[in-house]
Amino acid sequence: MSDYGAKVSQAGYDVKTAAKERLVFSSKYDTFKVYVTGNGTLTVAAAVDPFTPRAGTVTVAHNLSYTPAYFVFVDNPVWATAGKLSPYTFRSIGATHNVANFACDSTNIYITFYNPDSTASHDYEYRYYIYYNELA
Amino acid sequence: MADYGIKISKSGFPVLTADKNDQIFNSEANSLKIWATGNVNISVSAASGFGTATVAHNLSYEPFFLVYFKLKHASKLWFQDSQDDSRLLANFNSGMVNTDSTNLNLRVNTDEASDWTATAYYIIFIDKAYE
Repeated sequence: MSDYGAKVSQAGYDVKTAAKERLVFSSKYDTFKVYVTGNGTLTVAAAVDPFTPRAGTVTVAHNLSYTPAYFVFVDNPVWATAGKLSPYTFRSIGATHNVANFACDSTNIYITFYNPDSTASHDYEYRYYIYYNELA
Repeated sequence: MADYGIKISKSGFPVLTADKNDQIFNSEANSLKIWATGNVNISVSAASGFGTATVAHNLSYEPFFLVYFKLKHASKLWFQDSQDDSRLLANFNSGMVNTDSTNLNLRVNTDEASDWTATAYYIIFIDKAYE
């Protein structure tokens, strides 16, 4: 088969000889393609007690017929500063649940927050990216 | 130096004036390029409380990656460190991953009473985790 396609190398590297990790783009390799993004805030009621957190879930329909790659940023107003977003869920302490869990299936993405604070409700901020790239 | 390259802007933004944030592609800016995708089963032991697996990536450096886990309960794919939602408390079914210059190193932790099998769905990028 003939050798064809498009490549763009990083500045300072000859596109004809550059290693694959020195390419900005190559039509030989798939890329991450954003399908939809969104954001919002979810209020979760105060926990019954420190070991019985309340939960709330944001469900976002993606209308793809497969399970896509996704990325979620959330904040942690309970153990950290509100508005500071992380792409990783905040791990649990002791027997209490993670502050957030992220999941996806062929219909929706699910962003679930748990409030372990029995003294107050909290507003959880989230931002999500859903990609065209298929996981399963 | 000559002004050359390739730019593609988002719909509604003139390509000659669009900020990089409003561009879909710019040959001055690196883009994540996918090296490999796939899935691997992980046998999880109730006795030890975890299971592990590796995925050889055949890159000579530590690559950027994303991994999603199918855990014991529900068919959803969970992001790293997310916990299976079947139980609210004491639920330690969760997946973790790191990389070295040879493999993705996968681990699933559990507190289930019997052995089970998790599946990890991975995307490995050509791009280095660091320069």
